[in-house]
Amino acid sequence: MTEITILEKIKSIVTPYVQRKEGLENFNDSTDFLTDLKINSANLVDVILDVEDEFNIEIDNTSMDGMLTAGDAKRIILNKINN
Amino acid sequence: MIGNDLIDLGIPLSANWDTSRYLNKLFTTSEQNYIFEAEDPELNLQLLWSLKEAAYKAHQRKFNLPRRYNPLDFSCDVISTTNANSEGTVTIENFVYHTTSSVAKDYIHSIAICNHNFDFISKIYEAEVALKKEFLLEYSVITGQDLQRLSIQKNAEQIPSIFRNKTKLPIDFSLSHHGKFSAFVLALRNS
Repeated sequence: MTEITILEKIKSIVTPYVQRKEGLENFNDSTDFLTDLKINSANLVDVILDVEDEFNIEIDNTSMDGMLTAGDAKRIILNKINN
Repeated sequence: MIGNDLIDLGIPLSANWDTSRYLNKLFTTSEQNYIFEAEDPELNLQLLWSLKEAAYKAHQRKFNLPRRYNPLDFSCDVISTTNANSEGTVTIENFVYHTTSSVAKDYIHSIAICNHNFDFISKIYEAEVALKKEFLLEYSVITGQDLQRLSIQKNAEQIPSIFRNKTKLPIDFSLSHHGKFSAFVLALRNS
């Protein structure tokens, strides 16, 4: 799976939770789930569960701790699917 | 330091809220027991979440910490609950934050403070407002400062501060917004 494909999948996973839709326009590694997309912090866990389902991985609490941007999520996913 | 969190109860919880996958990422075993021993588990879940959020803000500000998503590190104990109020503590590492919550029909508002010994004021807005503007207006009235010189700016960790012209003021406060509700809390002296 290419990094671009992963990023596209992350974008479609987060879209239902995004409260600031213009934040999706230039979706890239530095897109911040909370500050750019205004995803409610209570919904971040839903994003994480959806990522687990989509990529068939388990995101442990240490990884979850640092999942604040699309790039963070991408690195965590790559790390899990390559191991 | 002080933190607050407001939850609009009109916004539905995640559809996953009662699954163990969801709960295990956010709540300790004893917190999950507290949630499910209630008549209304969803309300207790929202209450605990607001405690974690309020304490997270107070703790992050106290140490100017980078942002993290570590809800399991914040361990909640509800000490007493009456009709509309709840008191508790949130512990992270060796730090204990005292919490006080108002539980209304439509919202939950929780405040976390480092210690009991200081006063604060808080205000809840039950309709859409420009929260920063409202808060600065209140602050200027309380302190007699010129509103035109005041602004709120966030640092790299997204922690907000009040500035008078270009000077950052050592004021403890916290803003929160969810759905149609918003709230602020302001410490009346620094903690």
